[in-house]
Amino acid sequence: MFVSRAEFLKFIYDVKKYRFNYAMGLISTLIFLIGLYWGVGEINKGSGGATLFVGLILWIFASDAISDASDHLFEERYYGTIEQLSITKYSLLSIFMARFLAVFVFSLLEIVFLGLPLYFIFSPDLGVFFSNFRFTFISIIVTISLIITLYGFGLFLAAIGLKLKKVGALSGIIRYLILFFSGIIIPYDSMPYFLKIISSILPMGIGIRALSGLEKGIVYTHLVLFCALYSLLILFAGIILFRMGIRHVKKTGEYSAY
Amino acid sequence: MKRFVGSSNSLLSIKNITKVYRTKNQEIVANRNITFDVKKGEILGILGPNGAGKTTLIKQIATLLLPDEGDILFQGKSILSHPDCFLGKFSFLMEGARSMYEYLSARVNLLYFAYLYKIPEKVARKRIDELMEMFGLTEFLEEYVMNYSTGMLKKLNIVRCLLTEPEVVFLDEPLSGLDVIASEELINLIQSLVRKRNITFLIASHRMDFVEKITDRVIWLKDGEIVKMGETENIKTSVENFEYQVYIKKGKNTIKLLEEMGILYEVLKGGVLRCNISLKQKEQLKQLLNNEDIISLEKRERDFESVFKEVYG
Repeated sequence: MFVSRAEFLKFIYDVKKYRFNYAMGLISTLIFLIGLYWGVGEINKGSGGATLFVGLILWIFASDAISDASDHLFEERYYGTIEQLSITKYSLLSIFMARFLAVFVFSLLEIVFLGLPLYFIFSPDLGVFFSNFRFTFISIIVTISLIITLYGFGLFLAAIGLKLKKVGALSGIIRYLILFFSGIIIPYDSMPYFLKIISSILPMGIGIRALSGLEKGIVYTHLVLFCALYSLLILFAGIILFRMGIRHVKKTGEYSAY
Repeated sequence: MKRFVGSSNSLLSIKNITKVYRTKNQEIVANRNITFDVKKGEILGILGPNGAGKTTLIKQIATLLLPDEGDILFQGKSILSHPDCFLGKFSFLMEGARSMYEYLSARVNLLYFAYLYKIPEKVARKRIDELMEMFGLTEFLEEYVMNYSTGMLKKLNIVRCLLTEPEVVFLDEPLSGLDVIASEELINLIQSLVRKRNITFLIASHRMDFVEKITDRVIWLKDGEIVKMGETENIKTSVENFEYQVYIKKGKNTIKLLEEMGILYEVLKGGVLRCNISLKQKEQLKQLLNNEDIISLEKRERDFESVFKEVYG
């Protein structure tokens, strides 16, 4: 696929150019995660730490995935390349999807870099997710669903950002909502009623509850199904809204405005 | 929205395009009822003063803007109802936009766009080398685009446009930022591309000499509407092919008289004034001959710029 080659080429040279910044970013994230894991692990002594480990790893994904589409859209408009991309042999949406794939592969490498030290330092009991085929299958489904949700939500935000340019700044708030209110840091059962409502709305909250259920040996089938459906719904809505957004700004003449 | 059927020998048919920009307080009509056809291999110039709607028009044809009314047909198919039928067939050179990723080298930028036009790497690399050499940029191929000067960036963008071998190339003010030699090279290149590959060009420009030299046909826009359209040569003759160029020794009341008669003048060295008077302004010419000290009077063929001034007042 030429479009994937194009995006990987661009991404590799981008990383090459800013390798020092990327390396420093990774090291600072690692320090943050180690501190957070240690602190939260101390509070929740007795739990195997598997959900916390997976949750934090997913949160790293979330940070990139949610803001990715908005950031790229802003960049393309700033450089005046959005109009050039729009008349190539691929639609803008296909180009963005290929770009997500490139970022996703890079994020996987990031996770290996961040996850390995975290695993060796704290030795979370990940065996619970691999104790039987059913648990492994469910944890994979939940993880994939959450990743799809994050990218779908990113598209959703980018679509709104086409018209309301400052929406991209919201991604920071969403990132911390996910970290603190989805059950990664504060277990769902310990949350006050109001936070439980927020957690129940957040797809990440639902997924984390399903994963922490596995850690306790319980399969919350309804949460797993809900998580999978929710992810597809958000991705679908994100794509539709993105296409509508592009059409709208082409109509109003704001397509390349930044 | 109305749909139209295009004529079979046109590559592009623009049918009753109207575009209105709406803000909170006002509506600006950028294009109104614009209709014309473009043949394959044609070089069409779009002329007009600032704000005439040139860029809006070519952006709509390139589908970067959606018209409020009308339709655009490419090879007989509506671009608006079949947006996929034109993908990869157009190239656009924007005025003022960087249109490149500054943090990447020229080669990576060009290769990136080549992939998006599904050009295999080997072919793309060969074309990149050829085009960069043609524009004298070979030694800057590995340079980051952020280090390019305005003129170099313009050339690089032209390379990007031509690299993909599109069917239609839209050029918005292609000569701005280019030196005389590069401008000449671009003119030759466009003409050779039309000859060899039958590529169609739509060029919006203020440069009359350039448009006059290169285009087969021109469209003159004023306040979003077509005021004149026709073959470049015929447009000149349809207005008036000749004019008087008069050199006058500046007298006490010369400037006042010229201003009263509405004749534009230029002050030259040694107290000499130069003005162009159309054949229609016979009375004014008589008045000048009677009252002023005329150094020379010459009947000459008008250039495009002079015609432009007359059309736009």
